Amino acid sequence: MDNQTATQPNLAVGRYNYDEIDHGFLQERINQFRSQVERRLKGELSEEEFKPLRLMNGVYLQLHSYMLRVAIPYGILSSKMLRGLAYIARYYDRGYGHFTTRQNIQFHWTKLEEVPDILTHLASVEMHAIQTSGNCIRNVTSDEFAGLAQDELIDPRIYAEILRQWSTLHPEFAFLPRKFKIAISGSPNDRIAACFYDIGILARLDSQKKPVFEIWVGGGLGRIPVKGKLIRDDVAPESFLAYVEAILRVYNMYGARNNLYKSRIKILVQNMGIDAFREAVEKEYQVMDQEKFKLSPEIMEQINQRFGRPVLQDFPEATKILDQHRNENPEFNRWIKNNSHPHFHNDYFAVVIALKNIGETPGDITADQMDAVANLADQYSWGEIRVTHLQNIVFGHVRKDQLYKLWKELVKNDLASANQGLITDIICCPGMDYCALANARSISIAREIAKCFADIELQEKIGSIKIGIDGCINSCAHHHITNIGILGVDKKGEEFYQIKIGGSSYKDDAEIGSILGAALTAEQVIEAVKKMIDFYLDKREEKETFIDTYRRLGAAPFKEIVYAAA
Amino acid sequence: MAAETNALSEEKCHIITANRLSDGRVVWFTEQGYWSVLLEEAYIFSKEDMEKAMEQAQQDVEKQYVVGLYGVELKPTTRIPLTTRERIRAFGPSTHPEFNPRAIQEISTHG
Ligand code: SF4
Repeated sequence: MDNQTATQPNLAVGRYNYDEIDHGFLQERINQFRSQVERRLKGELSEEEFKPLRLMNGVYLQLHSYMLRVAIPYGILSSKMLRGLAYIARYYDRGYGHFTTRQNIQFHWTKLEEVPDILTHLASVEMHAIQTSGNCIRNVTSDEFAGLAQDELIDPRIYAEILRQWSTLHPEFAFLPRKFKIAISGSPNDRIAACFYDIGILARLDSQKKPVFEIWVGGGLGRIPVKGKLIRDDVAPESFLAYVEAILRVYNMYGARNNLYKSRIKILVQNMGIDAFREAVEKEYQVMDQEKFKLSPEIMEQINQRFGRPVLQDFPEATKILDQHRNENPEFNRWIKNNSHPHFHNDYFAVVIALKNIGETPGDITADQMDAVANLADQYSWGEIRVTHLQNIVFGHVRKDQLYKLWKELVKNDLASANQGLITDIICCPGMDYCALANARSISIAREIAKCFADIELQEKIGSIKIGIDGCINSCAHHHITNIGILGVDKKGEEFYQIKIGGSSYKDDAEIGSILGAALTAEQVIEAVKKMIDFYLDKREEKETFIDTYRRLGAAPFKEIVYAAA
Repeated sequence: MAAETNALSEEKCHIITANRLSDGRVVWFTEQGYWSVLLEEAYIFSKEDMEKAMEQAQQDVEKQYVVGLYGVELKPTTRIPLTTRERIRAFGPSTHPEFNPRAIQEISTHG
C-alpha cells in the first residue's frame, strides 16, 4: 500500500472539515425539524404548512414513500461519510442508495417519523439534506477530477465551499423565484456542463497568464432547454463571490415569481437579452459593497486550512509495474484503458468506479458496496471518494502500481465495470419506479438498452457515446444534452418515449438535441436505439464517434431508419 | 376479504388511495374503513358512490392518518389499476419485485 500521509492527518482529504460552528448550526436545524415533524404527526401542522418545511430538509413524498435527498457538497465524500450513508441505507432504508446527476444521494424508502434520527446520524458524519430542495441555491456541483486534473488552473473545491457557506446562511436567497443551480470547475476544459446551469463557472488563463473565471449564466434544461450565455470571462478569483452575489441580486429582483414556468434565471436572461442582463449585473456590482465579498488571501487560507490534502510520493517504478499488470491481464488492461484519468502526478491515476453494471439501475449502490468502497478508499485513495454527475464514483489519487490490487478488490464487490464513457454508461433518473412527477419509467429502459449492448467488445467498437433517460421533462438525466436522449411521456396513462438526437453537454460543442419524431413504446424505443447504432456503425468514417457521424449526416437518415418500418 | 361483498362489475371500477402520513407507504381504503397496504383489500366503488366514499376517507386526512387522497380507476372487471403509475404504486417498483407489498407481507408473516 502507498504511504497515505495527508497534509493535516486529522482532517479528511479533499473536502472541507466542519468546525464547531458548523456542527452547532446543523444541530440547531435538526432540533427545529424534529419538532416540526412531531407537530405534523400530532396534527398540529397541516400538510400545506408542513410541506415547505420538509422540502427545506430534503424530504419529498414520492410514489411509495418519503424520499430523503442528501447533499454531497461538490461531490466529495470521506470514507467515514460513506460508511454513515451505508448505515442509513441498511437501518433506515432498504439496503441501497441512489446517486443523482447533481452529486447527491437519495434514499427512496425513508419514514417521516425516522427522518430526524437519520439527520442526526448524517450530522455525525458532517452531512445534511439542506439545499437539496426548494427555491434556494442548491448543492453546488463540481468537476470530479478537481484537485488532480492535469489541466486545472484553480482548485474549484475551495470556491465551491465558499459558495456553500455563503448560500447556506444567506438570508435573502433562501426564497428565490425558483431553485438555483451552480456548477464550478477550475479547468478550462468543461467537464461540468457549464452552459446548462443557472450559473456555470470555468477557469482560464488571461493574457497575463493569470487564472481567472469565466462565468456562464442562464443555462438550464427542463421544459425549456437553454444554452447559457457568457456574462464575463475575466472575473478575478478574489472578486468571484461578489460577482456571483451581483448576479443573484439581479435575478432575485427581476425574476418572475408569479409563473412557475417563467421563473428560472434562463427566462429572465432570455427576456432581457444577455447585454441588458450583463449591464444590470455590472451596475449592481459597481454599487454593492464589494469589500464585504472580497476573498482576501486570509479568508482563502482559512478555508484552505480546513481541507486535508494527500501528500503524493514519487515512485518511479509505478508506471512500469502498472504496465506489467496490464500486459498480464487483458480484463484489467481494459478497465485501465476505459476507466482511468490522468493525474497531475505522473505516478498516479484517478479511476472511475462505474455504477453501471449491465441490467442494473444506473447510480444505485448497495450498503455493502458503500462499505466496501469506503474501505478501499482508505487503503488506496486517502479515504476520499468522489461522486460524479454521470452517476459514477471516482478515486482521485491511486498510485499506479496499486491499481491492479484495487481492481481485484473491485471485481470481488461487483464494482469493476469497464464501461466508463461507453454506451452502457447510461445516465438515468429514477423515473416512474419512484418519482411522483414521472410520466414513464426510465430505469427499465436503461437496463434493457444496456442488455442489448452487453458485449464489451461491441461497446468499445461503438466508442464514446452518451445516453440520458428521463421520466419527465424536468430532465434530471440531461436527455436534452446527451447524444441520444430519451424522454418518457404519458399517453392516457400509458408510457411512451420521445427520442432526442445530437445533444452534447460540454462547452466547446454544447448543443441541445433535436426531437427525432413521434413518441414510441418501450419496445420500439429500444429497437430504435439499436437501429441508430447499427446505422452509425455502418456509415461512420474512420475514428468518428456517434456524434461525429450524426453531425456529418444530420438527423434525417437516423429518423428514416427509426421510423421506416415502424 | 371483500371479494364476495365487493364483486367486480363493469360499473364498479373505482378505489381510493393515499399515502400513510407516518411512513409514506401507499395505502388503499377498505370496506371496513381502514387503510391497507394491499391493493386486493381495496373496496371497489361505483362512480356514483365515490363522492360519499371520498368524504368518509377524507376524515382520515383530517385525522392526520393519510395524505394525498385521490380516486383510482381500475381496468373494468379487474383489480388492476388502469394507469401504469397506479400499477407501480400498487405493486412496487418494477425494478424491485421483492418490494411488492404482498411479497413483503408474506416475508414478515412467514419469515
Ligand atoms: S426527470 Fe422527472 S421523472 Fe425523472 S427524476 Fe426528474 S422529476 Fe422525476
